[in-house]
Amino acid sequence: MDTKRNPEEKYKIATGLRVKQLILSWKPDVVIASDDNASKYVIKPYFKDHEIPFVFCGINWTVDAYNYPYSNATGMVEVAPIHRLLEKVFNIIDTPKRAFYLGVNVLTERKNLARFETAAKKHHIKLSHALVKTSEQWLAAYKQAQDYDFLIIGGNAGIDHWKQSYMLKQIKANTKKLSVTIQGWMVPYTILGLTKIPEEQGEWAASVALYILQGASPADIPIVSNRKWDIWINEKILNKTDIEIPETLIKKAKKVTNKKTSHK
Amino acid sequence: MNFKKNKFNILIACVFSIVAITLSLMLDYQRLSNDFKDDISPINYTFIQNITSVKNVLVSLAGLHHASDNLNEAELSSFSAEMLKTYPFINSIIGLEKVDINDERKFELKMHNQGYVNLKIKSADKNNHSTKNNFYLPIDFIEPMTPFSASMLGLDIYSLPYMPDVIDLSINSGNIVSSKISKFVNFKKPYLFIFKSLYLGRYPPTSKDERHAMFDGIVALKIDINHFINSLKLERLNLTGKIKNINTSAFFKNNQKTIEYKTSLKQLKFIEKFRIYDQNYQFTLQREITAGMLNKTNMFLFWVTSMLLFIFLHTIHTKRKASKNEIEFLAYFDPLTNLPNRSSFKESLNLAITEAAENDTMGAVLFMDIDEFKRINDTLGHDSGDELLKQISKAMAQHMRQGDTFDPTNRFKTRDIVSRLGGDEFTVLLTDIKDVNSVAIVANRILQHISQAFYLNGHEVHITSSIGIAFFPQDGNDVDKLLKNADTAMYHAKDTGKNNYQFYKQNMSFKIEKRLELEEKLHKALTNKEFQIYYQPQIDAKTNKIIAAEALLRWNQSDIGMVLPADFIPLAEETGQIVKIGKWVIHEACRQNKAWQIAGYDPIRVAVNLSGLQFLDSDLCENIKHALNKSQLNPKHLELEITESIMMRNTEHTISIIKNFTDMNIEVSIDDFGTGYSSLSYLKKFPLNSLKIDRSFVQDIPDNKDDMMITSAIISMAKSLHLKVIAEGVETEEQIAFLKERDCDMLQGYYFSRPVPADEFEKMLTRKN
Repeated sequence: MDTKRNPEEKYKIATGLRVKQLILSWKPDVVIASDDNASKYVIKPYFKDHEIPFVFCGINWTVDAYNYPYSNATGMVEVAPIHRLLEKVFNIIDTPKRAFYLGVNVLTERKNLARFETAAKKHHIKLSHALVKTSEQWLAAYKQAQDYDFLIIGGNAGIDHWKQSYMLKQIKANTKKLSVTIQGWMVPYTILGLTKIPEEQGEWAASVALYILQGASPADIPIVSNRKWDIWINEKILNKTDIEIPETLIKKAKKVTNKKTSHK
Repeated sequence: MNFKKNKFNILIACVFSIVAITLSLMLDYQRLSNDFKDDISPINYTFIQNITSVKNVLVSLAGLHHASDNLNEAELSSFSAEMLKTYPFINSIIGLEKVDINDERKFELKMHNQGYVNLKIKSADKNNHSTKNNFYLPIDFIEPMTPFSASMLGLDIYSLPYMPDVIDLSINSGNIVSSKISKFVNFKKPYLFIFKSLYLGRYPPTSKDERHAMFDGIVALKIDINHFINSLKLERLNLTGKIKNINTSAFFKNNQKTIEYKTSLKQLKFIEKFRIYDQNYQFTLQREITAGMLNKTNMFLFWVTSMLLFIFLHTIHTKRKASKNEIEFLAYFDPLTNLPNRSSFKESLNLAITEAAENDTMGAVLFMDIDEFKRINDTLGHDSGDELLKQISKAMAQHMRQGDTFDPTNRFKTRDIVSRLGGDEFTVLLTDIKDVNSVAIVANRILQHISQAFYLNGHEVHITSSIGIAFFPQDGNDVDKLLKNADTAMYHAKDTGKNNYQFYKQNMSFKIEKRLELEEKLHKALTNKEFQIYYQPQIDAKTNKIIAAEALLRWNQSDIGMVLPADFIPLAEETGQIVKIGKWVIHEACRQNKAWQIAGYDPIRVAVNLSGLQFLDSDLCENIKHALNKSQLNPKHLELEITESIMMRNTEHTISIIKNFTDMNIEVSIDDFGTGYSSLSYLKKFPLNSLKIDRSFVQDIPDNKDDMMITSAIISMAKSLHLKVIAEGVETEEQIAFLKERDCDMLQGYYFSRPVPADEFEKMLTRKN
């Protein structure tokens, strides 16, 4: 649907309608719908309890907004290991009080921010944030975040003209505090990552679609959550700082290489 | 009979086949059983390993739970996935969370927040969800998570049939406990759960109460029975497997496992009964036996071997039977003619005598001997003699209603039995005869058939036979006596000119005894030097001088005196002694003639008679040469007389021998000319010097005109053949005159001199000059 690059509501609605017409014309046996906007602009308005089965995936945190479950839809919710991530932070920083969330001003990021705010509150951490639209804004907010105990790096989807080498150079030059992320593709720009595994969503969606094609009803397949994540350490940025990460975590975590630019 | 025999042989062959095939099958089944056991061993080992490793998996999972303060879903999933890779026979690793009845909503909310949208604790029984405890045990984790296994999330295991007792046992004992194999409708296939309870705290509690109090959840393994069996990869070994629960009382003693192998015609079975995780199981592996598994080559070889064995044994049996028959045949039958032999005949005769006595009937024994059979043997060879006996046997058997085939079961049939006693002697046993005439008819018939021409190797042979007949019980009441008397009668028939039959009379025995006595004396005569040669002069008809002498054998027996030649010469010929005696005569005649020459008398020829048997003696020429050499007599002073009948028996042979004599300058004359049937064309071929007119023609001259004409004709014929003629039996002057007138060359007879001993004959000789 390309809604990350076309965040306007009008575009999303129009695209949703177009997708609806396409699906109806194709009359597929099953449709796999990825990401929140597919549920929000296609399934919910046009296909709730429709005869065509839908398998959704990549929906962040909750499906409450779309009133799932439908009789014709099931799928996997994408839950980020926020609590686990914060537990790791506590292992590195002694009683952090203030944290900063840096993301992009899109629906997914806003939902992520909300989840982090809830989790931070549970851990008695005051969370500030910046949801930007450009890389310049992002870098400015990044520098600003160095005044906090640690910063949480959200996704950069929605920022045009993200220049990887430039951004990396700037990040290395300006990093003083621990940065963490749950987004796999942001691991190159972050010191510690506890990342979801996007393949888990795709594999589940595919296996459920196959199960439906074999005759199963979507109503009989429960909506489940992802339950896999991985640990990353970016030593290239870490080594520019004075941050000390426990040896056990360094040994356990995967290491970010130069080639690692994206997980999505 | 043959059909029955063949049927029996087929039956035996079938039995052999069945035994061979059964044996082959037994070996095959033994092999299949051994192969089965060999294949079962590693399978069973893997099975036991798998069963045992269940414990390792559950203990590891429980250990992970207890060791980790904050085990998250990702870590448990990762660990479980690795476990399932290592132990692929386990279908699922399942986490069951203890949820207090009052916390049902709280659990559902937690799961919802984790992304399990709208997940509810659910009961296996949709209509009833009750628990005897105050908690539920919903599934909150399952690995691998598939669209199907995910549907189990939230299922309260406690609600499954038969499960509460098992779970309670798991909670209270802390042990690994298995459920029974079940077929819950949602799972579709038979399965079982194996549980390990989890407790709060770092270390598992040690008492039942503590375990109950600290119970926190369960880690369980779901094992799909079919999948578990499939993981043993039985198909590649052509096996099928089955696991089922059994009652404790069914087999267990001291919780020992039992293993059993069973073999039936259609399958091989391995049954293992064991108890583990508080359940009793029976693990069965079986292999269907198909025709393809049987070694058909072996079966075929076994069958072929059995058939060869059968043929071998059958051959031995047949040969033994044949040998037995042959031995029995040889014991009672003559192998040359297939007629009953002497033993058989004696048994038959003995039986006939007994029957005749019982029934007051009469029987007869006909003892038949071929006249001059020895001559046939000597002239045509033994093969021809044997062939003649066969032909005679066949002819007799046919005409006496005697079967010529061997039937051991009926060899004592006492009617008209023809037997061969040996040599050329045959007997005929006639039973239940009414009168003598009927026997005479049989004897005549035999004589008639025997006198027919027989054809032996291209030769037409005419023979005659002599038959002696003895009746029983009149002529004897035992076998030997009857045979002896019939034999005596047969000799009498011979004495009375052969080719006839004679009934036994008591006085015949005397004659035979005399003959036997004479035969015995004759046998010793040469040794005892009882023979003497008398010489009868032969006169030149023109000069009236003695020019030759016929050497005539005389036997002066020391006990009985002079024996007439007519009494002992035929006997010597019949017994074959004539050859030896004749040899002596030639030697003695040559010696004596030479002695006279040495004594100064004018040389004369000595004529020696050769008997038919001598003429057949292959050493005859050599003997004559030897006699001449030894005596130094010039061969021209020896003459050999051969009877006309001898000459005509085997003309080619005779011509050849006579030629040998003439080549040696020995003169050869034909004796008793006119009594036989000489063919002039043959006579012409013989290299003879002279012929001697038989005395029967001379003795009636001049009274018998026919004899005079015959004598004249013989002399004329001889002259035309350039043969000298000698007349014997000359006794009167009239005969001399007639013979001289007819130009007869030599004369011999009583007119001139009787045969006289050598010393007397010497007086008749004239000195030289």
